[in-house]
Amino acid sequence: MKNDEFKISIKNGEIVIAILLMIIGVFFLITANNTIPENNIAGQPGIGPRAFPVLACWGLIITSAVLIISRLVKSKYSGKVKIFEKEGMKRVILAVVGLIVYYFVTPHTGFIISSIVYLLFIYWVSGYPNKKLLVLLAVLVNLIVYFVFQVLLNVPLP
Amino acid sequence: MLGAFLSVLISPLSLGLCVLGVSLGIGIGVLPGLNASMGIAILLPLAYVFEPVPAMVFFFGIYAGAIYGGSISAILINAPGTTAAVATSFDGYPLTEKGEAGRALGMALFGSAVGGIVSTIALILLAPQIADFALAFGPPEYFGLMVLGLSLVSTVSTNSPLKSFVGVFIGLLISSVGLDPIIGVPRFNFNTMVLMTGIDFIIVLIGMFALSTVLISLEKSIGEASNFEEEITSQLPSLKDIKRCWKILTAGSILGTIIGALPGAGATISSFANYGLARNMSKHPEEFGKGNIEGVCGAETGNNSAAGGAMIPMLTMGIPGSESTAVMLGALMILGLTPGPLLFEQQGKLVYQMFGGFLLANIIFLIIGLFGIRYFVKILRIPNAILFPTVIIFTVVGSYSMRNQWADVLLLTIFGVVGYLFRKFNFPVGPIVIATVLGPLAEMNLRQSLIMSDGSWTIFLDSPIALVLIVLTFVSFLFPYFGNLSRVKNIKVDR
Repeated sequence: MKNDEFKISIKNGEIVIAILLMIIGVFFLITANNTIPENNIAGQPGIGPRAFPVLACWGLIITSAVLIISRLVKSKYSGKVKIFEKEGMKRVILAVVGLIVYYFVTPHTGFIISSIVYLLFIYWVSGYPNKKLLVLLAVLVNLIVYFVFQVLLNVPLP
Repeated sequence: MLGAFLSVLISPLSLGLCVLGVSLGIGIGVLPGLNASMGIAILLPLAYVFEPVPAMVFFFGIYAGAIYGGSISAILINAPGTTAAVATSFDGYPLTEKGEAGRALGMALFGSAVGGIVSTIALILLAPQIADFALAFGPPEYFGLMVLGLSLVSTVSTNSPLKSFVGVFIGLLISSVGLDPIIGVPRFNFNTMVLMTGIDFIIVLIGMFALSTVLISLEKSIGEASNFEEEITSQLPSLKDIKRCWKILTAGSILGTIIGALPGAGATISSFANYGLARNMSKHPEEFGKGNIEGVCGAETGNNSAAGGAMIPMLTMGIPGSESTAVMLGALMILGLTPGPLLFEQQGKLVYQMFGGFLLANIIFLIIGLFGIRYFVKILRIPNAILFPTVIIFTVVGSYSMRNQWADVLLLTIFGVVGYLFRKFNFPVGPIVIATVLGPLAEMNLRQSLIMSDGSWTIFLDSPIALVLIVLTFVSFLFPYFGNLSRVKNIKVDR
């Protein structure tokens, strides 16, 4: 394995995702049982508001469990791996963290400024060499978005 | 109705928007990584600007254009712009290597147009009949239909029905967030106002399809773009090629329309199935994968004919059978229209105008494809490092503008990351989105049925239609065991 990459077998990745989904299913099942009324109002017949979410939770828990068992017994992907390049993963993580920061900052700075900064940041993360072009594009793209949404569509941007 | 149908074809606004939609669609389709559902999803806010018919003509244009556009990059640089064009690359790229790119592009265009027009005719002829039949549907029948749709999406569309079922239950769980549809009590809102009104499926869709695609592309490439420099001119296929392919064009259009109409089996499966059909019908199957024009014809007739077929269950019963039609359903809902038999009964004129728009989109892309190919090829030179970051801003504004709620951007981020991880480990995201759309309808019809029957579940056995639909649901579970349609994806081609 090269230093600049790490590998996860598809089987293990599937099992980890399925375990997380089971946990989510159990969490929502407990929440449903504690917070959603079981029956309809005024003795209306049929199933109440809790039944459908509970069905979805049980469905998620059971299918995830079956997936885990099936992968432990036999996986059609056994031996196959997903390769994550560290540089590529860094770009993805930076983009997501940047998006979260952008989400929290925008209500304070306004849409235009934070969007230009965020777009410049993502262009930088992507590694395109022509910096002048990127600045021009970041400003232009956001002005177009502002014009189309705020002026044309009357969408009040934050 | 004929007047309504024709009025769209001669309306300057519809024509202009159709040209714009088709051009944008071809551009989106050409770029590897972008596809019809993603393109329409991020442009959905534009639906607010226009009246329903011109807006839908615009989206139909993107839809038809993007499916065709995917074939351009598949043929020229062996990088299919959409998954629906993967089968096109099997013979399209070898033809380019032989110096016959124009011939392959011409056949792709012609096959796409024939497939699109035939499926539009099927849509016009069949949809009103199906809608008429569906008028007899009450809550039990609709519940049966929703359950069948969800099971077909899981068993037909992917190589892993189990993972699809996981996705369906995630979608149903997402759709349970917000106010209960019958008595209005809040569910899973965790004392926040944002979740009180539920999670708009458009946000799930933009996150799962568009943002996750951007993240995957960011991981893969820095500043990469195609170095394709050749001057390309498209042409209509020669009479010799048309004569050679006419059986494939005819049979492929019909098969593609049928496959498209099945929930879960969209343009991608149709293109593979039709590629297989073309190989079986060919006098020279040994040439497939080495540059046989019939392979290009089969794949392209297949994917565009499925586009029209997929509109049938979406318009007549409100069931989106594929990712693209799920987005199209979103567009209709933004425009204040609820697809289903009542739409045909109450707004028949508008329905026929939409049919006219769909036909118009298929005619316009034939013209634009023929004359504009040299310009669309240049789009391939846009570096990914510029393209995908720019798309992020559109996903943000697109999801925010659905409800003018900035908190939806956080939901978008969550669904984008989940979609990215799912796609990395081959979990299909389509079933999640489709279940998010169908979940509330399934729940409402189930509970209404039980209120009607005073709590008795036999109501689903008393209705012959509901009973048939439930039996078909059980039959669909057997699909993976006796050869489902997705196996056509495993066609191996000697290259």
